[in-house]
Amino acid sequence: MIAAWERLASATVGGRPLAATRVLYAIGALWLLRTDHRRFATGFDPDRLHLDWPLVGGHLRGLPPTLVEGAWVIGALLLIVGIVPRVGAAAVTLSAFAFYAVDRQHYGNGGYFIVLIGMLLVLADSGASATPWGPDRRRASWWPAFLLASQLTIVYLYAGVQKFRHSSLTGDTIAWQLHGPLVDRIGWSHLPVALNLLGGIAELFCAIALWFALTRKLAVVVGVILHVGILCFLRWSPDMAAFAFASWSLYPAFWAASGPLAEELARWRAARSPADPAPEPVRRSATA
Amino acid sequence: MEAGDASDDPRRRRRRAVWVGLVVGGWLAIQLAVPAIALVERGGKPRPRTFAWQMFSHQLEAPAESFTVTTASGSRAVDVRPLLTGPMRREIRYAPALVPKLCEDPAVLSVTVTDVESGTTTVACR
Repeated sequence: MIAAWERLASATVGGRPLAATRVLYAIGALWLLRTDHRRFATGFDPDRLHLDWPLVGGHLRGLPPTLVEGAWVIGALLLIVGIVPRVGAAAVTLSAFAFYAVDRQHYGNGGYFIVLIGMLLVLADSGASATPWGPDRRRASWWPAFLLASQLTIVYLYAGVQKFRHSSLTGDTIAWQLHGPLVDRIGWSHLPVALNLLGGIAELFCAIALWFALTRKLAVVVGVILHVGILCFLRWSPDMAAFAFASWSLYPAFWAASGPLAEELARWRAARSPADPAPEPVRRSATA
Repeated sequence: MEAGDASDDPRRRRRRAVWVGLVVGGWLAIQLAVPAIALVERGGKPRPRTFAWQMFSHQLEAPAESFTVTTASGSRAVDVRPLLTGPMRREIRYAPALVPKLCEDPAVLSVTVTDVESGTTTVACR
């Protein structure tokens, strides 16, 4: 076990999946900024009512909103072009943190997710490949990709499990949020129950299936349908689209994260059956 | 799987494994514990909790708190949205910040807060 972890801790992966993560994340971050933009002026205004977070208090009030927004935009652009992407991720993370930490009223799951992924992208070498289609400049460490993928699994698991609370199963949590022409056209009384159930199953399926090569592509399709379905059926909230992009940005990380894990699993299986020799370490491609 | 430079020296490799283990284990532990604690704290209560990844899993159509002020001429419900910098979020308890704000009006004698979880409380302003 210790030897396996030592190998994983030193393992490297191709850079293209992380480059895709970086670019999709930056799009999500820019979308989030676009939706929150009009709240920046009042958000940092010391004369407005603020609801402080513990620890942070009122320390961030009075920050120039243009400085925070500027850092956010520049950071996202650095991530998109792949130049000093760690600096870009740090700029997005710090500016997003400043906006969300200055006032509890700014909290949203999309914004929180953007901050968490940004922190992980500071750790990851997402610039190992200049673009999602390559070529690789160098190999990237495996473990940040593993954390990025694990983060999405955790989010989907918690979100999915809560779709199976009693109040959710009755459709009460969805019914009041249904919105849009699709809902009017379908007009089915059990639509809230069905959407809640399908959403929960999709989230739990994606949380697990993204880890396995056999089911990964299907999970990506299901995940895309899940988030597009949320946007089509439910009442619009500012950070819903950003949350979708943030979630999608982590799908490529599963390609990078799962390769070394699969090799360790194969090695473990081989060790248990002495007839099969342990696999030789191989240079694994980005799409392993 | 390809090992980096750390694989050349067993001691460096071991040290790297320990550091990576601490970072990975620490991150995952926090990310698993924070929503779990929030959900345990929520229990069966209607108000969602922050950091708990509760997407579309609460049934509060209206905000979780409503405010009524009492003046010499009677009581009236207050629309607090103009005082806020965003939409009223159901996770947040606004009363600790909003009651003092509403009491700043010298005409207001008391503020009554109706919260979906803690019920109705009245705070005297003066």
